[in-house]
Amino acid sequence: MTRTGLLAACAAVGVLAALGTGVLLERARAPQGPPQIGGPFALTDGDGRPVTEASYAGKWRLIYFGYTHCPDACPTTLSKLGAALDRLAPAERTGIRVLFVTVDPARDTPAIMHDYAHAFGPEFTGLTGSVQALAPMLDEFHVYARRHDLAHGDYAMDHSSIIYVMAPDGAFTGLLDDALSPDEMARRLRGFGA
Amino acid sequence: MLLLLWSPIQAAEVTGAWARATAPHQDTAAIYLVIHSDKPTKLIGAETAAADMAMLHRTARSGGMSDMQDVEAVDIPAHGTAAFSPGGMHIMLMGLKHGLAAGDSVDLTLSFADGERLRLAVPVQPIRAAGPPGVR
Repeated sequence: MTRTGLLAACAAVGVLAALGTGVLLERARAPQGPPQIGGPFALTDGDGRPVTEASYAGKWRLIYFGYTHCPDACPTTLSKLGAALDRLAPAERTGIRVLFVTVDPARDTPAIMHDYAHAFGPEFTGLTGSVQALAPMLDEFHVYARRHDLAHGDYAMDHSSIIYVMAPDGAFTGLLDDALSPDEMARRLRGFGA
Repeated sequence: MLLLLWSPIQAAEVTGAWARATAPHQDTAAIYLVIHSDKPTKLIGAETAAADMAMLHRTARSGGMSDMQDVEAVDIPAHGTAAFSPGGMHIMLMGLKHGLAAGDSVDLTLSFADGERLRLAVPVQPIRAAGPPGVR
């Protein structure tokens, strides 16, 4: 990990602690050294192709976990992220992929993820997979996701709502709080070097 | 343009109502608005023909988590307001009959504990919108 990456990781610990996510922090902390966030994954993209972390090598990756039946948090966050990318220069944008990873694989098929993600912008890719394929990635990113039953057999998902910023070499670089404005998201992305 | 169908006794007024256009396959949506009231009142529910269900809901954000919470009712003090905004309280639509496109409007009726009902047309904004018409 680069010195910048290490600093960012330390900053992330501060953010997580400040946010009061004791469990997340505990799980994020390696036996020693900086928190380990991110890692390999094997999922399916919106075109039905198998993808791994290597598929996006050389690109900045903004990773957000959510689901397409999400009424408020996911569309709000993804639209703000899209608006943030609008504020970047075309050359900056081409080096960025937004990976929207479902926490609701039972309903979110590749075709649904494809259409949904693309509605927010050309940089957006939807990823899904089996419960077994998603579990290691959710674990690596310390993602919380829990089914929340509603009336008439319908359900929502309670879930982590935060954007993970991964550098072109795959290293965890920082977090974007979903409450930030698009202006602030764009400013921080530039600050990370994206 | 927000259309309000007034009756003379109504104490509540709504401003800044909007909904975000839905992405393909999305069968849920959220309506955001601000309710103003001259007298103390209590919002107890919402109805629309556009979806199977409309519920008062809150996205509770803490520590990077987003939890969905049911909201039974919302008290509005005299000359006070209740704000429903992205990432917070919203009127959740479940089971949309069809997707919402920018330029559409959703017919919504709000119900208050004193029997007052307020009907309004909620404009649908582009998927990237940050707020109601006029807000960028």
